[in-house]
Amino acid sequence: MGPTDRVLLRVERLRAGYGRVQVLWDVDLHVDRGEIVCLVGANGAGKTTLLRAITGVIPPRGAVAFEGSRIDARGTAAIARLGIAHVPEGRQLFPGMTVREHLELGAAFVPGAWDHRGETLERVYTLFPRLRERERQAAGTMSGGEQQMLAVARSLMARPKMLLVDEPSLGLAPVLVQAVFAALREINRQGVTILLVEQNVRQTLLMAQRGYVLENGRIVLEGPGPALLANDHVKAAYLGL
Amino acid sequence: MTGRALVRGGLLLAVLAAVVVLPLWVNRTQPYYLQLSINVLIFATLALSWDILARTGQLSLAHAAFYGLGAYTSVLLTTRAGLPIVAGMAAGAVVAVVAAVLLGVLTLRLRGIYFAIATLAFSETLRVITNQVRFTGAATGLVAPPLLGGHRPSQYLVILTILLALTLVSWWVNRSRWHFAFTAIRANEEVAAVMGVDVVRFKVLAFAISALFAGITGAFYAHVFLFISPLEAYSLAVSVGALVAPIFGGLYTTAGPLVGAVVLRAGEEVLRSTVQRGYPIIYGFLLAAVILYMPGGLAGVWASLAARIPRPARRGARGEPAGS
Repeated sequence: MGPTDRVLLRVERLRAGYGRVQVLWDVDLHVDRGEIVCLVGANGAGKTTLLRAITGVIPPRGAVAFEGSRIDARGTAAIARLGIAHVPEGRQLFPGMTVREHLELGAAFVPGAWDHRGETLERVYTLFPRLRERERQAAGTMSGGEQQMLAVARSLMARPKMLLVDEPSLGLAPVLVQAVFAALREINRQGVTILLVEQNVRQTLLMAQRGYVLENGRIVLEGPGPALLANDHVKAAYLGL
Repeated sequence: MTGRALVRGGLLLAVLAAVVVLPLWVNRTQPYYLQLSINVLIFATLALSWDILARTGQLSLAHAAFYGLGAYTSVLLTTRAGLPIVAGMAAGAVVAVVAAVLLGVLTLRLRGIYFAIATLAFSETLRVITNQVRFTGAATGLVAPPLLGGHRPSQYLVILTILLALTLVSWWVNRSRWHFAFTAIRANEEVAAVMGVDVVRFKVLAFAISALFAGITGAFYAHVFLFISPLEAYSLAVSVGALVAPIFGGLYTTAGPLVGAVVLRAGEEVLRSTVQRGYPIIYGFLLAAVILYMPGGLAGVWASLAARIPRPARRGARGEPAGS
């Protein structure tokens, strides 16, 4: 296999920000097919901004390539249809819409996904049995953990090749964080490549094959998960050891 | 087909038969009611077409602009260029759509009150310009040729057909995948885009559909009332009426704006004839009460009543979007 076959997502010298405030400075990273890669860092380091720049929610400068083709000049919807699903920070469910409607929406605008929605729905319900029970319930009336699962499930309905997940543990009790992480591992096992953004550094690095540490908009460290966990800087800054 | 669906279908047919036959039958003895029915249907078309745009989160105050553009385009083309009225009405709709697409693209990034103000400015600008230009009759207005020789029953069937077409479009929008796109855009455009929804396309499309029906209705109005002026055709009352009826009846639904428009216009008429002085005050109070105490409008009240009546569990077909 050549390098373009192995690498699914490649980000080179990525700069992005809001108005005059630059948040990201020459970020380089790549995610190989089948990997779980995590991006850890403190609040305000630019993790969310990086995901938003990759999916074009904010305009990126530099190069973003997916399956060997540049996507940095494309619109968000077009990027989503290429097979990158973005689970945004804070879940961002639609009040008043039922669980089932959220899932159908997830499949509605991605070519191919709509025709296979029945099959995907079964897969998603097997992964998250709670959602099947709550099919007709309004999303806003569910617990935080269930909402996070729905946010992930909604993205899976697009049958993506890659999932970008932004802080799924936000506001969840530890037992629910475990459940969400277990689901992500299972999704990855089924063949979906994952780029995971987290503040929950320890658990994330334990799960990921590789990790990047982002500080003040720059990648300061990268390497296999266990190696980063053993790193003195990571220990001191993020693990309180 | 289930028994429920049969009952619903039967009811729908009965209502349809009633709206076709009743005004025409009453017209033999009391033509006033046919005229009132035409007014109600014009109002209902404006309300429902406004609501389709609102489903994408765009709360417009420019509905009068499309109504007025439709009216003026049709009258100018029929009187100055000698076009047949049907062609004039079609041209009115086309001009309204073109204007809506332009306005839609210009206001893409505006939200909430900023969007509303921008659309209001657009509408008022058209009114002021029309008021000044001699070609459009300036403040004096224009006389319009009558549609179908002024035959009221035929005119009634024309506006009824327009409204039925719009009702089908609205029903389809809320039944198809568009419903997801519209709802997602209304809730959060960024998240909608992340789900693969082409936000620009759907927002502009909603604008175009909305303006198409407002434009053709404006043209219809001109050729029924036989006179248009900037103050009437581009009236702020048209824009406000178009948004009050859906709020009153139930936003983002097909039945809500229709029922809202019928109840409001008929109620206004009843008040006008029973309360000699100051009927707008009572009308205003009733409106305020509904908006304050019935947040879902009449459709919301209907839904909560229906929810109290026990009935067998819903058997939605798999893969079919739920809701109305």
